[in-house]
Amino acid sequence: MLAKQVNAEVHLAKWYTSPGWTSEFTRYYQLEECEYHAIRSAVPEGAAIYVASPDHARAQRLAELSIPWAVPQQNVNHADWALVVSDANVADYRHYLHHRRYSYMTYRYCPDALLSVKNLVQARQFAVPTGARHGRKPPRVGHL
Amino acid sequence: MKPAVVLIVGLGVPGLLPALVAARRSPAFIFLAPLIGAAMAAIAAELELGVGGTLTHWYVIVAVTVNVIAAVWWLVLGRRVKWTSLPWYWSLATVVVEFVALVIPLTALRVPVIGRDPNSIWLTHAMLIAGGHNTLVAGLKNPVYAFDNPDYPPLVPAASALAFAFDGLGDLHLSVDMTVLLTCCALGVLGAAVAMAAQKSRHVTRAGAVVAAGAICLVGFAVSGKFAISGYTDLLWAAAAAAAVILGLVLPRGPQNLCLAWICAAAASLTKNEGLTTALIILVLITFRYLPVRISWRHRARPNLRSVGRFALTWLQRAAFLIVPALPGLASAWLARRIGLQNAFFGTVAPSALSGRASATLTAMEPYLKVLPLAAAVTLAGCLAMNADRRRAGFGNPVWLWAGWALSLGAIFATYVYGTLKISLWLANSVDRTTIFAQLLLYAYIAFWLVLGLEGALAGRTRTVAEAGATPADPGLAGPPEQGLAAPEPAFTSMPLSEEG
Repeated sequence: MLAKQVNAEVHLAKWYTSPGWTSEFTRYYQLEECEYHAIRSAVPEGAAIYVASPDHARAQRLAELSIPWAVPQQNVNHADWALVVSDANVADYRHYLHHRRYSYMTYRYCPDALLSVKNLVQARQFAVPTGARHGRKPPRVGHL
Repeated sequence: MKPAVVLIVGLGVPGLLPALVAARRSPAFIFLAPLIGAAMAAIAAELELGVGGTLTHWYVIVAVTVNVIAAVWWLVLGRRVKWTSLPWYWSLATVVVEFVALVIPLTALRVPVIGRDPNSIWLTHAMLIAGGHNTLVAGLKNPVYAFDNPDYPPLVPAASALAFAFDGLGDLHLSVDMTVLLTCCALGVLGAAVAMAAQKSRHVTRAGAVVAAGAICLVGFAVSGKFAISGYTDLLWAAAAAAAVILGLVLPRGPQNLCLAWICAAAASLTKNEGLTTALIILVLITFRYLPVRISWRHRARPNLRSVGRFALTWLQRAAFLIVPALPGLASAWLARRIGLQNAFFGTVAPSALSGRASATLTAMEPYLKVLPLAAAVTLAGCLAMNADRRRAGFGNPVWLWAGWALSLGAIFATYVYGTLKISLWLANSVDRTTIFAQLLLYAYIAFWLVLGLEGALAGRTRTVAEAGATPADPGLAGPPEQGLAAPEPAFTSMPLSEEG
């Protein structure tokens, strides 16, 4: 049984270094590194950010990659910058953004990903209250 | 190459003197130094979290303090204590064989694999630690990272943060490389512990033990599968805890084995929460193996001040045996509680039926415990055939190891049963990792019995040759009687060294 396990490990090491696995992991890792650097060039150091994505796990990952450059916030009202990350080929990506009623500057930082960044401080300063035109009560400060 | 340099320069060199004092000529020495360095980095991370400052600042202070203590201990006491070790050339052979065995799984590091947990938990924690006290406290308390298990102990992220301090935060895979290299070190110590079972045996047995040490290193990677090289820490704590069991509960009692077992248990306790629980169980068992409680049914005289004092002193000694090595791990758990960190496993959601969770857990664990019947059979056969040899050589009673195995697995089982996560999802994501310790320990114990069996077979053959009046061709086989499974030297003169049944 010991010998069987030793043999299994030798085969496992070979399998991991096979060309298919190597290219798959290299692609994933390069995307991670690209997103890591993209955050650092998109927002200033110490910025309070809000991260969103159609894929929740991906948003979580982007929040983790922002350490220690930026400080992710759970609530968008507490953030100065909003970031949305998505696959470059997601069909309903624009729809997702419109649903959130954000107008973003969209950058294609990485080959397989779209990272969209919005300065929420500026957006709050220049935003027209959505209810003002129709005589309704304007939303509270900070609401987008 | 960079992670190897960080491992050697950043962790190995500061841990060299304490490792030398603890392991001397044992083959564990070379693998122990980086583990001690990582444990010192973990203590530095605890100080960063609890007091303030940065990791590098505390690491220098902790490393200097530990080295000064090791040097003073060596100069004052260490030289007087005679520790038995393998001859240096056998230690060297063991280290070389283990290195060769570990190179095979390490080839997979050419591929930049990062697992999901290493990404979300260990890399995140490493970057928080690298950011300094304020970033660390704010990050661990940030609800955005609530699913990143903020209460996990800091050994692996501290080592990775130290690597980032050396090399900058650019290369994220450095953290995975550091984890895998530390895992190799823990497996190296485990392999060395198996090889140390033959330190008073014949040359052929020693050669067999060296092969077994190399095999155990590969088996560790085999039972862990993809988790071992993608940055998961489960094999690291499992290997450190298994080494602590072999050194503290199987090998003969002695200051060297005790010291090494304590260091391994401390490393396991600083790696993961499961490691802390398992390390505490192992440390309790080691305490009672070294300082057994004796129950006498004979009529005793009325207790006087001296007997009460002796009684209190013994229990104080037992408490010290438990608390001193567990202190770094317990401090980490205490800090997490004090700051208010909580993992997602125990919430307020009402758990489903306990019986359902228990049966699901048993069903999920069963495929990963296929080695159990074999290990039980080997232990039984070994006890029936070689119990006298085992007792004469001072090896621990199998009950100690099996108690440690059962209690640690029981603790993991109870976590699944009383936890509040959805059991099917939880088991599907983790049971293959939480059973690594149980599997690895049993494989190591089988290897130990194989070494003992080889020695027993050689001793039987020698007896047959001697009875026939022939001169053995290989003097190493027939060796002098003290080379065989000789009685151990008394380790602690103040300790009762009765034969273990």
